[in-house]
Amino acid sequence: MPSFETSMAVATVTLVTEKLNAKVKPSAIFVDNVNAGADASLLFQDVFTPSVTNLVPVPVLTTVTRLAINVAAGQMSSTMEDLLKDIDFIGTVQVVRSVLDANCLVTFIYKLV
Amino acid sequence: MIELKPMPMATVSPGVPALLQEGYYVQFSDSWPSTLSNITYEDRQNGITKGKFFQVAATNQVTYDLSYKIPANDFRDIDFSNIANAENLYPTNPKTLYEVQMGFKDANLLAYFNIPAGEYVSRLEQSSMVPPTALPFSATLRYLGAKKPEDSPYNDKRIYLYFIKDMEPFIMRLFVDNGVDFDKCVVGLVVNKCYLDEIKPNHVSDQMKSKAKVIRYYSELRW
Repeated sequence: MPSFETSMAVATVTLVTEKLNAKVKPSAIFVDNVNAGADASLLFQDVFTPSVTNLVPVPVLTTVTRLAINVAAGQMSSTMEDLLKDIDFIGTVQVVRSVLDANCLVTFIYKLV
Repeated sequence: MIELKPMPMATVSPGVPALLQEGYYVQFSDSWPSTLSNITYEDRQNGITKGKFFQVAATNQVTYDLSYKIPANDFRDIDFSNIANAENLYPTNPKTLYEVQMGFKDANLLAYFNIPAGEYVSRLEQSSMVPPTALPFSATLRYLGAKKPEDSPYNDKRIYLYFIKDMEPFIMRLFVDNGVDFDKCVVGLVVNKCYLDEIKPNHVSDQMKSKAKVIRYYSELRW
C-alpha cells in the first residue's frame, strides 16, 4: 500500500498524481501538528480535467474538495480506513493548508482501485 | 455479436476457456450483409447470402483500458470502430475477428449499447420503452436496458463483443447517474485477436457445425 509523507512548508502539496485507469482510495491520513506553531486547517482536494461529454464539449481543470481536517496546534490526528473507505479521488490528490508551517506533517496512505 | 454471459450455475473440471482458442470453429449467421464479403458468400443455387464457416488458426490476447471522467447526469458516446476520433478497436485485416471481453471498474455508471448509431440494442416491444436519447434522462427509463458495473465486473468480465473489419460502428453510451459530482468510468478490455481460416461449405460437417461458435448479426439480437 503506497504512502506519501510531506510537511506543509508550502501551501499546496501534490500527494498522488492521477493514474488514468484507477481511482485513489485513502486508507489512512495522519496529521502531526505537535510541533507546529498554529492550528492546521487542511483541505484534501481532487484535481482533474473531465472528459469531453455531451453537455461539456470543452472541459476545464476542476478542483473538488473531498475532505477537510482541522488539527489544533500541539495535537495530532489519525483518520483511519473505516472513516475514509467511501472517499474516492478520481484525479490528482493534493492537500492545501492556508497557514504555512514546516512542522505540520501530513502522511497519506492509499490504495489504487 | 453482443453477449452477456450469465453467472455460472455450476463449475466444470477441467475448466472451459472463456475465450475462443486455436482450433475452435466460428460460424457467422446468415443474417450478415453481403457487403461484408470476408464473412459471407452468395449461395447462387438458392439466391441468398450465407455466413461463412471458419476455424481459428491463431489467437493473441491484448489487454486495454479506457477511462473517462464524466459529470453526473451527463454522458459520453464511445465509438469502438476505426473512424476518426474513435477508439480503433476494429480489425483492419479481413481475416481477423476481434472477440472483446469488457468489464467495468466500480462506478456510478450506466452503459447503453447502440449499433448502428442511435439504435439501442436493448429495448422492449412497447414503442416508448427505449432508453432515453436526450438529456436530461428520464428518471425511470435511464435504467431500461442499462448495464452496470456489477453486471460485468472488471475482474470477471461477462460482456462479449465480436468485431470484424468494416462492420458498422458499435457505440457505447456511458452515463453517470446522479448521486455523485463526477465519476471515473474505467472500461477494461481483453481483445482476443483471432486469425480465421475459412472452411468451404462442402467441407463443413454437422459435427463441426454443432461445435461452432455462432456469431449473430445485430438485427437478430434486436427482435
